[in-house]
Amino acid sequence: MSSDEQDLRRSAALGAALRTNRRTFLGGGMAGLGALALGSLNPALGGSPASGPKAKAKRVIYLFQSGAPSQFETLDPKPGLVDRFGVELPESVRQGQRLTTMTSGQSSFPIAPSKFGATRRGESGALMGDLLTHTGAIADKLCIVRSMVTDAINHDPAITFAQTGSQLAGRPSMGAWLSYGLGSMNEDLPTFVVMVSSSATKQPLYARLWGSGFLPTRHQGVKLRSGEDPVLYLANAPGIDRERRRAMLDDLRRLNGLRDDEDPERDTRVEQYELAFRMQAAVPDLTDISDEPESVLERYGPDVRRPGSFARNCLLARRMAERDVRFVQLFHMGWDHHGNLPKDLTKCVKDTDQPSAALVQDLEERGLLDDTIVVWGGEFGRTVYSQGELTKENYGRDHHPRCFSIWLAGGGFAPGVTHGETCDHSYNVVRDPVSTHDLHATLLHQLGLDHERLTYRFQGRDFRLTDVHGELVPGILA
Amino acid sequence: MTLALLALIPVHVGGDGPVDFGRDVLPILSEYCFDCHGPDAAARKGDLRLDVHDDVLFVAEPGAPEESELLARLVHDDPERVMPPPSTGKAPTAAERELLRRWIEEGVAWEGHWAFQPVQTPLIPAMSLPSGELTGWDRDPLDLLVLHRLGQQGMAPSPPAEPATWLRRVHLDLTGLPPTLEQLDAFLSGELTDAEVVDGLLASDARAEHRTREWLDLARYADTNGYQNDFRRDQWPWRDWVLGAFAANMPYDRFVMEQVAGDLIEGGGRDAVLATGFQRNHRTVTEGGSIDEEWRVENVADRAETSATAFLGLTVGCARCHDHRYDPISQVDYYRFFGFFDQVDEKGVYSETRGNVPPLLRVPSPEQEGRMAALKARIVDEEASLAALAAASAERHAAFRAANGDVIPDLPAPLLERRGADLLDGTREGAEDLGDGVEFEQDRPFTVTLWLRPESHGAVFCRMEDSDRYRGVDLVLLGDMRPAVHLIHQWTGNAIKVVGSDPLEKGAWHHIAVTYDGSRKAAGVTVHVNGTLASLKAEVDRLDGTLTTDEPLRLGTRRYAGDLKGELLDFRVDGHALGEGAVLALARGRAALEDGGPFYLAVFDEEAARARRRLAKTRSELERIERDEVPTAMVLRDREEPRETRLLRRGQYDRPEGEPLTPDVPELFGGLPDGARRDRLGLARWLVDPANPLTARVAVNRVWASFFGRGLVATAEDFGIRGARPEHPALLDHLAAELVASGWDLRALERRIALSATYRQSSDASAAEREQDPANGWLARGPRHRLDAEGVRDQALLAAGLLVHKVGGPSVKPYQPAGLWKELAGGAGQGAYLESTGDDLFRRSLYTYRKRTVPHPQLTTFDAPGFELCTARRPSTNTPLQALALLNGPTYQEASRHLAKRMLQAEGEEARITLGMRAVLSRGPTAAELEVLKGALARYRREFEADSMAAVELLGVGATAASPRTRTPEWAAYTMIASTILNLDEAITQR
Repeated sequence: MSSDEQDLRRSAALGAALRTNRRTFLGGGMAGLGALALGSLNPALGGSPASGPKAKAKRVIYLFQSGAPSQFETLDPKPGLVDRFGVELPESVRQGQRLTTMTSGQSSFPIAPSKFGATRRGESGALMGDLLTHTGAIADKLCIVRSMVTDAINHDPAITFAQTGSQLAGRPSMGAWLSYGLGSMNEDLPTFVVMVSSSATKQPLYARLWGSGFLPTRHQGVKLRSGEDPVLYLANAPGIDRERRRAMLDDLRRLNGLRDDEDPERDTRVEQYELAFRMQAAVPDLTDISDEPESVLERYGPDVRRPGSFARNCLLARRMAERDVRFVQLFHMGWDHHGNLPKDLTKCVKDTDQPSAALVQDLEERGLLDDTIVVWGGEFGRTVYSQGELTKENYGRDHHPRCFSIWLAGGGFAPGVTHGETCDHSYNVVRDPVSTHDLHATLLHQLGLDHERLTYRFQGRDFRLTDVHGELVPGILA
Repeated sequence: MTLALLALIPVHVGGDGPVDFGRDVLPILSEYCFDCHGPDAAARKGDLRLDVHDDVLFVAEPGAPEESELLARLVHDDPERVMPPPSTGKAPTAAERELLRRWIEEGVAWEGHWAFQPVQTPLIPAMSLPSGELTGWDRDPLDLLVLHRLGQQGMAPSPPAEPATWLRRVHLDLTGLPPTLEQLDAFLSGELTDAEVVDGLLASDARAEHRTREWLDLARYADTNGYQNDFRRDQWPWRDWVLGAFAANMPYDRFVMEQVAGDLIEGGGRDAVLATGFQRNHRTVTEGGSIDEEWRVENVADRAETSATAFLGLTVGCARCHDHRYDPISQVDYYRFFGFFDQVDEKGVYSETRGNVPPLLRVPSPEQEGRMAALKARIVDEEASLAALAAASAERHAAFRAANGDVIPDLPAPLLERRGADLLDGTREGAEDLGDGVEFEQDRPFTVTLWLRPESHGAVFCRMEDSDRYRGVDLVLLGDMRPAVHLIHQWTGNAIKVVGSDPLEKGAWHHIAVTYDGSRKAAGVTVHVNGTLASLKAEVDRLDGTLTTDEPLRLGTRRYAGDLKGELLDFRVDGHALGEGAVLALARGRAALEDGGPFYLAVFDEEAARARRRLAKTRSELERIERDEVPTAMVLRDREEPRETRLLRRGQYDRPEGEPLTPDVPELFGGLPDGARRDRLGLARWLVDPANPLTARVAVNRVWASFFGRGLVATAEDFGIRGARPEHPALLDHLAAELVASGWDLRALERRIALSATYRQSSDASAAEREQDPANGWLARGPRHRLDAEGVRDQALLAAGLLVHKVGGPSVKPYQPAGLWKELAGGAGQGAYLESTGDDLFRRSLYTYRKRTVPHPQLTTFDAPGFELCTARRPSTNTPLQALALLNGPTYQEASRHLAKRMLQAEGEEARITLGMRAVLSRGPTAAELEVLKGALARYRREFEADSMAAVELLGVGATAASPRTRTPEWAAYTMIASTILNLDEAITQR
């Protein structure tokens, strides 16, 4: 079965499932439908398979911090290290684990304590870096995971892993899986939208991070750009206004209807032109923030007035949540602090701290946080030892896959909980490790999908977002 | 509409015949049982495998279903015993259980998976067809086989398509372009027969381009390396090799062999080596800090898996981590196959390297080859004159000696003087250790003088630490033979580095002096070459710290600089900075000795100096062409020292285990024959052996899909157990056998398909017929599929008269919305996308630059793959983004304007509309269509006359926009009509 045939049959099967008793359908029609995403028979599309989890959330907003934020200055502070400034990292901590070739040749691995203070925040008393003024203020709404571990040690494979569940290219991204498994909730916007902060950083991203892999191309993320044409070719060509376009589409519809045979593909094409026409109105309506009151803009911070900023993208993410876009993926680049960490990380925090917190509060006040999951985090952590020269004022940190920290909010994730623990050097996880696959499994679970059943057959194999791994992490759920 | 069923064809509607193991049973077993009872030894439960007949007989009693454990377990009451276990969420349907029951009742028949069995030569059904509706169906066995199978299904073929429909179809499928108006008229006027049309297309460049476009998906060809910064690479010479192979109708067996092992084929020549670029099209890592072996293994795995999919239609990737779950491919099989590709002389990480990474092949154009040959001839001449000058120099040397014989430079005693020669052999062991007697320090002047005849780049002398801080002093010849001096306290922050602007000449004697005045400044360093001050560039200039080190003074070696090969003479260190006169005096002293002839020639003989300069200039011109002009391609070259391949536990690069594995093909094929070479050449020969069950079938399937949009096996990438079974197995085997028998003649195969009655059928169908066979697997109608991403654009350009027919060469950059590269790469890698100009804006989309991390939107929007991995089959979707691109993209706006211009050359509305439609659809409008379009035309005319600015804007898109004065409302109105035609479903559909 080709991917399209598979997808077509799936759509047909979903339709059938809605019309007929589900049990009859599964009993009678499964022979050729091995690849059907069983989990997709649930919430938004009606029916809830007995074996599938009950959906707690409908949407995801993933605030991806690309380049990998240091956990020491943010979500996993280790104040005890201040006394160990410059002390050689004991071999007993490193345990011979692999390092990148950027520091594997270093003759010394001096401990670099965070230059910044840390304070217990909120009633939950989560210890957070003092730089996170705004995020700290909503500590009680967050579920902090300090025990994330990943496999990859370099950006490209690690980000690809975080987004697709595999370090290698070719797998669908999480948003594409959700588009495939849950479908769309709105009629005139894409299901999966991607926004990348405009910035001067030279850390690249890759289209595969929101690609559809072997899933049909329609599931791939649509990148929303800042500027006049937020979606490629959205604006009518010069000399064509909306009325003229409407008239042309009417002509097209008539002409396509004049063929004398029946072809569902042609009918679909006509529908897609109509959807495009609706998008031409819906997207500008989405990106035009002139209806936002001053108080809201202030909450997101001054950057919100600059199109393409992380703050603006956070505000747009909220507007998309209101319009029921299923998966919104933000990327903010610049967290790769091999050197000059104190100065450069402060800049990244300044860009992201206030808008991230504002988004959570804004969603909550609008009653959207209950069924929207917000995730904040990068692709791996950073080393306790300094890369390059260590001074009281300045240091750098290399990549570190053995532990890193993220936070989640809303969508049934446990607020005010800190999950997992790292050793005194935040080098190894000592309690409750959570792998990227586990995180994916848990995110899918909250969306009503069993990660072992959300499958797609390609090259004879039933692929999953979580490959052959992934365990639900009940400890982070409310 | 289909033809009436023919009574003479035996009707057999499936369902009540005997159970077919491969068709009916194997899919059930593989779906429900193989996860735990299949080929994967590690996952196997209860030591029972249901992919092996003997084991199956253990649980299935032939003729006695009621006594068979296999069936009993499917409906067992005990949740602990029922199979598959409820936790899998899988359960066979009643119909499937019934099939299994009948299969057991009928005797538990067993056969291997069809695709692994030898290709059969099927009997061609003998049928006498009534004339009339089935005219043409008895000309080719291909059609008889289809007809026979249709009859068995109770289906009947469709009538032939209109001639013009067939013409557009055959043009699109053979070349990716619709017929031009001239081609359409010539055909309709009866000037050409069908066969002549097809033969003409088969011989065209356009057909080679279209086939190349298809092959590039499998070859994961791109113009960038694909990871992180995604730097540019230049692999288009390999792409041009593919173009050439298709243009020359290279037999498919050779096409395969050269791409697998062209470097090992004796007498294969440069082009055969170039062909192996196929195996280097995978992505390559340049991200700093990455671990070399991890990514080298990834390269090898990519080559192995791509080769398996492209040539064998197999997905072996599963077996990288564990035995394959469904197909009989073990993990050992995987690493034996992997072993063929594990020998390449390559690295896994080329840190921050731009451009092609080795092994490389230089591929000069014929013009470049001519120029280089001329330069080489000149070099031979000039070397001869220099040698002649040298041979006749005794007299001049004697005169020089007479004039300078008593010149003994009056200098203070040196810190170190080493009279005589050191031969450096280019190894660390062969280097000289001069001890620690001479101390270099930041505030202490010194001069080092020596004679050098370098054969390679590398370190001349150093007193320097091996650690990352590189403390100390050195003189090195860089890779391009320019001299460089380092004085380092801590690299790079606290050091001096100066580099000379002119390279030294290999094989010639040079007198070199390095002086330092103790000032801690780069300006305090000089380098004299042959008595002349070299022009220096200070690359690092911030020294403040000691240079002393415990390492001894060494000649000819330094960590990472390379070990020098050549001859070194009279190494001398003075404790102050010598002036020009003193340096020259030292050189003159040596040249004036009796045996100083070579040194005299090198430094003091004017005639020789002139000849040498001339020669150096010629050589540097040749080098410049070779280095900067001649393209390279990334190709295969194996290491001299074989690499031992071991199984990698869970596929991880750092967990090799077990004994070394000899390269081999999977055991299910019986391994390579005895005596076969265990290298890629052995593999290549096995691939194209007529006995190979897959190679020809997979090739035929691909060609079939080029015409029908779907292969005879729907899963072109997977001929394994879980792949789709062919609806027409006999046809597939017939064509495969014929392909081999024809000497692997792809063009002959394409010709047959293009001229077949099956292909000629109308693709119109009723809703019921489409529902019955949505993918047209049974072939009861003609093909219908959306044009590919490239075809959508190329057709618009062709219809507009904009398409530039130029074959091959570097990739080009057509229109792309501004900022796409920068948004993602932030200026890393390549900076902004710089659009091509002139003709290169209008080349076929095959030549569009493929940046892997930011693919061109024309390609991604219309379902082209990302070129990161081997892709055997593109999906074909239908999205609003496609509509937006076709409606508003500048490519299509510009094409509409040009098509409108063409339309306006005809007389009268109807003729104009007809011309536009024929240019795109190969047919004129129906009366109803004409009415709609005329109405639209009147409306647009009215609107643009009322709003002429809108007309000016509409007609101002793209590089070819005409002057605003000429942009009339009439032209604008027709542009809208042209755009409407280009947006018709029929326009982007092959039907």
